[in-house]
Amino acid sequence: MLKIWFKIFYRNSKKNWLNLLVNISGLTLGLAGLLIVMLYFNDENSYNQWNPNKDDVYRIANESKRNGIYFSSTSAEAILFKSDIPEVEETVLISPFYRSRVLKYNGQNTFTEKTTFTEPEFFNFFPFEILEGSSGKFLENRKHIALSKTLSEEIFGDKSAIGNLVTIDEEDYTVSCVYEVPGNSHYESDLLIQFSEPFELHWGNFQNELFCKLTPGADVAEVKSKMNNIIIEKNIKPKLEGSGITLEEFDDKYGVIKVLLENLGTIRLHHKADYAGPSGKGNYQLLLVLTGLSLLLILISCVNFINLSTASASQRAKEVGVKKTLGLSKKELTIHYILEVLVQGFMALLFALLLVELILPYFNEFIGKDISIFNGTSILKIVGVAFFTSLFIGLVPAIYVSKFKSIEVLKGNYSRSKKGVLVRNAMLALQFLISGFFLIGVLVIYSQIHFMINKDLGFDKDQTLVVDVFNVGSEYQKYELAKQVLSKNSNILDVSASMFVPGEGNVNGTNLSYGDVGFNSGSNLVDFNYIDFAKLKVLKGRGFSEAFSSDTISSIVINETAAKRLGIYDDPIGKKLRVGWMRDEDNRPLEVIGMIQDYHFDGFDTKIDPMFLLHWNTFSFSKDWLHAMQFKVKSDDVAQTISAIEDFWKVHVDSEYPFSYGFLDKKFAETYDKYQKQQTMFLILSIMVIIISLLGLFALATLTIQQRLKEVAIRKTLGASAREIILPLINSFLKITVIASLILLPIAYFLMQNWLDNFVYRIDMPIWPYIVTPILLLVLVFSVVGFKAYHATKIDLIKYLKFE
Amino acid sequence: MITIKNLIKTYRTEEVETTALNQLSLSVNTGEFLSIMGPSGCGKSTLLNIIGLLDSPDDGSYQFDVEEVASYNEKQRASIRKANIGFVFQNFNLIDELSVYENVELPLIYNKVKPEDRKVKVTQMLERVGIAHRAKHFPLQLSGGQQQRVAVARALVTNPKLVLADEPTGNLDSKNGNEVMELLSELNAQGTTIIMVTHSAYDAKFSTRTISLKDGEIVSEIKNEQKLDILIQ
Ligand SMILES: Nc1ncnc2c1ncn2[C@@H]1O[C@H](COP(=O)(O)OP(=O)(O)OP(=O)(O)O)[C@@H](O)[C@H]1O
Ligand SMILES: [Mg+2]
Repeated sequence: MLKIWFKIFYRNSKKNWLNLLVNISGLTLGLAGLLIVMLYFNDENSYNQWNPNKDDVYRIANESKRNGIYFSSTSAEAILFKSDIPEVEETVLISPFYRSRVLKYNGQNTFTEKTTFTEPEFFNFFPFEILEGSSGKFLENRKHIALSKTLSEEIFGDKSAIGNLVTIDEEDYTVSCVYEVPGNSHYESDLLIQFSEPFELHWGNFQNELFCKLTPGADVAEVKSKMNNIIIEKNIKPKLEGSGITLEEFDDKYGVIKVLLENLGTIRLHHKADYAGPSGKGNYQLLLVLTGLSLLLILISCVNFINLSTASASQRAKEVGVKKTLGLSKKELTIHYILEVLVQGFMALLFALLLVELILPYFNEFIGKDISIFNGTSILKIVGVAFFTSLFIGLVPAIYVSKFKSIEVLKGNYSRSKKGVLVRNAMLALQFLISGFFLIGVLVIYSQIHFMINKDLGFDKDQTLVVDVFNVGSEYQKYELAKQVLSKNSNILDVSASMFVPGEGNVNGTNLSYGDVGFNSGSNLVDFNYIDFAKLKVLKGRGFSEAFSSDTISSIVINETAAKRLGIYDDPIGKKLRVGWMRDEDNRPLEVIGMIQDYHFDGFDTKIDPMFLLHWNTFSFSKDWLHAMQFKVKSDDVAQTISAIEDFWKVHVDSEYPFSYGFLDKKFAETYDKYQKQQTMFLILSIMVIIISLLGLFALATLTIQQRLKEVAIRKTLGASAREIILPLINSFLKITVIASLILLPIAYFLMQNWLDNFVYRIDMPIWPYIVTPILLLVLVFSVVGFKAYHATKIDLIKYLKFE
Repeated sequence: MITIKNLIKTYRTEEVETTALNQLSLSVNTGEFLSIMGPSGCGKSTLLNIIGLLDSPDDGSYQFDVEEVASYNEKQRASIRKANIGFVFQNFNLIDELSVYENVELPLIYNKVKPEDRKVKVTQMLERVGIAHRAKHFPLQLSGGQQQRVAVARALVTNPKLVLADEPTGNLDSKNGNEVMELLSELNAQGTTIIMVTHSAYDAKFSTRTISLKDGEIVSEIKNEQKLDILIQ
């Protein structure tokens, strides 16, 4: 029985190799796509899952009406939450961004980019696997540090690291333990250094990430309200005392901070604050979209499968009819059929696994991860998906085929059922719809990204070399020296420094106020020449100048947005402002000397915030905040210029840290890297979807035209021209395309409008994709079906007219 | 009207070579009703297909009217076929998706006849073959005899000079077969040239001349001036 079944299957496949090819390749692509997305999803979901504390540890974010959501917290919160709330077992403050440090041991320098500063209790929250030493040892002394296995091996080779003295920033530290991070983690630091002293209670500094460990089973909502209560009682109320301002008024004006508790187990993908640790945040929405798209891909291949098998069913009707008269039951027929489909599903699965294995290295490079096909249970899941998909797509045509009435089939009297054709056409339309949507999507995304890349950012990013300044001490003096010396190099046109280099993101926020009005504002410290250097446009007043001695003491420049929010847009010059860095006793006024045009200092996917500029010398403490120098260089001999800077750098600026530089336009390009990746993914998926759809269309056209060859022969004998033969064959396909396009356009418009709404600075919805796409679909359908139809006009007439 | 000289047609498959027509010569005059008989496989259909320009010979000459068409290509053959020849098949070859009316109208469309003229011609033709009351039906809703009448109507609607029929009664019972044969001889009486392949001696009696083929050659030729009984084999 099985042998005969296999024989028939084998011969059928040989005859209908095109069907088999379409079926298997479609499923292969679909399964491969889904598997990759599943692996990706799985990896994103695996963050902190190894951590036994994941259910009880929460990161505290702070939300206020005025300033939105901060991912960082104050030391006051850390101290008071622990002491005043019984459910909070323990708290820890950890620096949120990795820092770069050089470790000196035995006269040898080792550089690491992943340094984290922390309170001693780090390991109580993130119990990494300890390979040497102990976390208890780490706790004992603030001069104890912990190293990752990689860093330890880099410094000490295979000798024991424990107890060795290393020098960091001119201070000596003792290695107390060596650890390994067990899995994807919120922190994957290579070096842990403790804050030199315990924190004092302070409400103003939102500098570190705060984690709270709750007692198991604690009511999170209740803890949250207790925390909010502490903030009001201990921070707000004392301030309001005697001022006559009510809590509500204060809330309206400055915003009362409320906490958000974000669980460590899910923070990677679900976070309200914009930042989720130095390992980065996952894009949950993108994952959902990708999953949806890969499911669509599978859906399309299923549609192809069902379409082809029902369409070719009439060709197999004879086989079914004979089998039935020979006494095979409906059930056995169905099983035979499903078996065939399962074999194809299995082949598709094998190809998909192979494909994923081949693609993964590229995918890993693309998303910057290291995913293996064996990660998690994805592979089992995909086997399940393949099995049930095959079962499903086998069942539909199987039932269809087994329902043929044997006598009629044997008489050759089955007519193509109207319902079957309708369903088939609807499925074809669905495919066109999906393909069309992808096409429109790609075109719209392309337009938006093109717009972003070419948008005038309001500052000059060409030929600007940015060299990183690490924590080397007296940074500002070194900058002044570098400027003085290197300006003489004829290939260097200008040298400048600003606290934040455009596109780097984290613009330091602090309060900016004018009289009663105050809000959190971006800040920048700049050199005299910076406004000219970056070609910022001064709209009113002037920029900083060495000619005015007050410019290093009491002058401030603001951007348009800040001026508008302060309510001084029409006449900003001479207004006296205050900034949050000023101590209460600091009475000097900061006088507005200029207003600059808004520029995209923080990437162009974020809204331009209020922003002020001060000269570096305005505050003495802020001079250490210089972490990059900028050089305008001539476009020729760039390599030589860079090595000239490096030579100077090694001698006069920094001999320990690696010389690290980049061009501003490239750095800035990283801010739209994310969208370019989305575009690439979308493009790949669209090409896949379109190929699968076209393959399906091709096979379906082949089949339907095959069924109509006799009709073609008759028409031809009656004198029809090639055109008159081709048109009716193509007609129905073109009609389907037109109908699908009509449904597609509003849906695509709506969804793409939604996508564009994600952007603060976006294009108006372009109309041309909505014209090009249907035309392209029509052209594709016309060429694919036309190709088959044209072939049909070349048939051997006599063969099809003969009585059979 | 038709002059054929030394026509050769051979079919080659991987193993065998079949000579379907072997140096066959034949001429048919305008207004004749010729029937072709002979055992199965003797080359009747092949000859008819070549006469009908559905197929081309390997060698020999074929004059249609005054044109030498033996070496014509597909396109040239199609244009002569369209203007001059109507076909009736044993298995009717109607298009199932089109109604009776539409089936008959089809060759007129392909011959670029104006819509208003088409209507007149189709209606007349359907009446002439006695199927007008079924104009809106589809082929599968008709009996075999009715379907063949539709096929005849379709073959005649363009007023072809020549009608070719390959076993037109082969799928019909004697009553329906008779009706079709009467239709054909009536047509012939009105001046249409007809060439018909048949296995039925009875049907052959309706024609004016009968030729018999064997192994691709003409073995006998009889003029049916009176209705004679002719023995086959
Ligand atoms: N396409 C083909 N390929 C190979 N041989 C063919 C082909 N068509 C016909 N033949 C052969 O040519 C010969 C003549 O065939 P033809 O169809 O003309 O016979 P016929 O006289 O019409 O027979 P019947 O009365 O059974 O219809 C036969 O031997 C047949 O096998
Ligand atoms: Mg024959």
